[in-house]
Amino acid sequence: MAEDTVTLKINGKEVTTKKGNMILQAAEQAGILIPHFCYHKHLSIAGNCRMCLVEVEGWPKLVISCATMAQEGMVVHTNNEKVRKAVTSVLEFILLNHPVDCPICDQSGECGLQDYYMEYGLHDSRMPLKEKHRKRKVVDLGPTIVLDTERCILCSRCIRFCDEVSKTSELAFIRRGGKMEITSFENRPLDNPYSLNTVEICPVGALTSKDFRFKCRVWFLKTINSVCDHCSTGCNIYAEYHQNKIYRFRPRQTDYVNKTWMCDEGRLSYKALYSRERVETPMLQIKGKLQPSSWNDALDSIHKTVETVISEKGPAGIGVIASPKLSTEELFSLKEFFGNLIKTPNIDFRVDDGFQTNKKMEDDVLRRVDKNPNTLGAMLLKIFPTENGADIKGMISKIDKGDLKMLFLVTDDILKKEDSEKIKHSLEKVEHLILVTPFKSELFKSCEVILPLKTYMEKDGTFINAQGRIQKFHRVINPPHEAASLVEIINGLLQMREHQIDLSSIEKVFLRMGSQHLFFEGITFEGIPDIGIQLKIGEV
Amino acid sequence: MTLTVEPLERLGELMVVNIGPIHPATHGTIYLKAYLDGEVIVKAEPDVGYLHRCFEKMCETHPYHTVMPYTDRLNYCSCFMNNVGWAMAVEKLLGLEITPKCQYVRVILNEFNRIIDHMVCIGTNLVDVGALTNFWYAFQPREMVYTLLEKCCGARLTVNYCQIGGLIRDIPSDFDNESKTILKALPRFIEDIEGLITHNRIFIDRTKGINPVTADQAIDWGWTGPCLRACGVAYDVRKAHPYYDYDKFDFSIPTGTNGDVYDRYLVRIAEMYQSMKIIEQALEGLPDGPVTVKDNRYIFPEKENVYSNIESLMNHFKLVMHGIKPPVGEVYSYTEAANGELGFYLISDGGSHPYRVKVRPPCFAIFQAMEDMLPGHMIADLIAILGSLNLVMGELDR
Repeated sequence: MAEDTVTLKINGKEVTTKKGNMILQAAEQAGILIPHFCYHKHLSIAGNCRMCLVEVEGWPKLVISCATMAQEGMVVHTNNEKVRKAVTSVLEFILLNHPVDCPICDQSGECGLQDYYMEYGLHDSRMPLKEKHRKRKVVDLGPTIVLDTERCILCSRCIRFCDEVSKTSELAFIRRGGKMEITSFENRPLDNPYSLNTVEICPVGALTSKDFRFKCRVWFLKTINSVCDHCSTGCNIYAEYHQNKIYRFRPRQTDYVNKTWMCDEGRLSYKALYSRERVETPMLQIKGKLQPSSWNDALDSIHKTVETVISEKGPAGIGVIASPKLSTEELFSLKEFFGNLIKTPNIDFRVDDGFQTNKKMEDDVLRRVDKNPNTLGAMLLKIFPTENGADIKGMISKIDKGDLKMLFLVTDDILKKEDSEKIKHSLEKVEHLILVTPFKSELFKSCEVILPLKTYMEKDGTFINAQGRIQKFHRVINPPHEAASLVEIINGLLQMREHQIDLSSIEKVFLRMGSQHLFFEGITFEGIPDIGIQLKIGEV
Repeated sequence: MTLTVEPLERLGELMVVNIGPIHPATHGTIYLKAYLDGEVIVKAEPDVGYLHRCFEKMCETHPYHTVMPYTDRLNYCSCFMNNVGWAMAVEKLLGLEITPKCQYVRVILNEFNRIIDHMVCIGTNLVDVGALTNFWYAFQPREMVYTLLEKCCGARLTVNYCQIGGLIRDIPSDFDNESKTILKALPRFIEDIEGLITHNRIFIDRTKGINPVTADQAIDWGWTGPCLRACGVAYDVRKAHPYYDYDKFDFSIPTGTNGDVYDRYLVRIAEMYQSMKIIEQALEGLPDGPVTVKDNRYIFPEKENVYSNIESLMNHFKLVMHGIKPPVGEVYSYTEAANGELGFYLISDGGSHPYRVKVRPPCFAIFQAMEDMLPGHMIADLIAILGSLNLVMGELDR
């Protein structure tokens, strides 16, 4: 036996665990779930809910397994008559003053009390309704959160979160006994960049999110594993949707990236998908008017433009500006088509230079300055100008000089640049401006062709986060009408010329990426686990 | 009076008549393609599925208790019996013992449903062969039974009165009286029909010797219920595999001899008297006590408690939203419904929905014999035969 492990018996099952682990953790390791409210994997131990009582043979009283260290030779029972009776009593006690709120409570359906009642309670009430303690309801705790002190079971998870993770310490208990409740300190609002995590870890409906409150009942929601695209951390998330509409993002546990946390901006970033009007069909500029067209006509028009420009100015007359919000496969397809096939040297992705202004949106918990999910992906795929090529700034000045005839612009993120007025002015002068975008844009009137793009919630793909983890996301909702991913668009363009490039499916894209870049070798989309893979990229 | 059947090579010369899927004498969306030589059926091709509603798949996507209303739509002439069939299957899966009072109420209402189901069968069968008057005699007691059901649960046709582990609510205080009133009134109607029909020359000519089925044939086809018993086989689930104290009641199984349309009529008439006998005994011994067992894992709490305490509210909430979670396992549960053995085969994977539900509706087995039985009969016989088999599309097609 190694010195840093202990072996104990839980429900007759031999479990070997790290020295210092609590019984609850050892049991979890063995697949034995012990009910608990206050214990949380990534917070300190409080031991105040008493739900995790277990019996240790030879010990006079039941002990709380979350705060009792596993010891060599211990014999633990988590599910015998004595324990069950105690746990039922604890639950009855917790429910003593709980309001009769399920029908109006947002937590219903994912509530720890409801779940444990069916599993460990099943008792009848002995508390008359009118004798229950009444406390404050609908307390406005801050910009994101509403508190219901009656529903609170005083587990203190939220207090510990604010003390230990966000380190803002806004919350505390006041009073004692049946009148004890959570409050923010001297009415200072609960306002920190991670505040919505308190809603997430609240095992009951005491803390509810202002954003999600009363929007949708949780049992209607379907869940798909995804990745947050709000910054280059790439927190793993569950995207939850109902009837083709996304209702919320929730953090998905991964020890490599975000543990069980997620920042508020990321959590609410799904709203950006609905904040602007969408482009629904391809559009062509015909006689000074934008008109909806078929995909065929639109792609054909681009194909002809490319041919004309090449015959006039050669490949250098074409410029491509991508976006670090595109998926790895999309960036690669773009590079394959314009870089390798058409051989334009002018290609760049660095549309976001908000690094300085974003400074205050960074901290050492999760948030990063770079608000793009796939900057590293674009860098790894070398979405840079080749020799003699122009970067974004160079392309703008080439436009002004009349050397750049065609610009393939993916998303209008370029307008986020500081000198956006000047850029806009320059873009108006491009002879053939092709814009691929999910949203309607102020650039529309200068565009020759507009193609509707899927947002990342509408397609499969991967992002490479700042650590170099490749993480995949899946289609969650359907795109409006005819929107396509950039891979599909490039495929359409590829069909119009002769070549040896096969990007017809996401796996084919990976195969080709693997053949060109060492760190993608052997990786398939199917093969990427839900928690992603660390790419062996070294120093980039 | 079986006529000789011409060889099938002549099919091309025959007249093809489509009977159904919408036809007044088929009492449902049944389709028969009949090849006629004159008025004689040479070949008949029955077709099913016009009322297919994915019953089994619907059950598999719903929590157990919400399946109950769907069962009402199986044999809609005796809805309560289907309710009992489903409830019994799930209770068997859960290992749930229902209360004695519930058992007796289920027996009483089952037998009332059997009577009205037979009434509908006989009434419409007689309309089809030209005896319209009896229809009123048959449908009047049905009205009385529906009124009793309405007093019990508020609904008349699709009652949805059972719940897993008991009944949705207790029986009304005048249940006993009401039932006895019906029992008292019933014989008059049955006797009226018997008086008009049993020795009626025209009826006998239309039905006696028509579609005789031997016991062996019927067993081979998997027949159950009155149609099987008309062939002389005394098989009844209530006797063979008794449930709900059926073994304690004194009743007999009427059987026929020829297995023809006429015998099926006789058996149904006789069964109604037996059902009345059972009801009388059950009313006599109707125990007191709750109609629903108490088990917070599976049974909904009282509404009053749901509104006033958190435990019952959560219990109710979880049962509605996430359903009951029976142990992993499979059961076959079967009852004697009005038209034969109604079976539910249930597989649970431990989840809130059944993993698989298979219904054995009594008339599906009966219907499969159509193709073999019909050739040689005249087209008018076909109508008499259809009615006597008591095909109910709701359960045939599911």
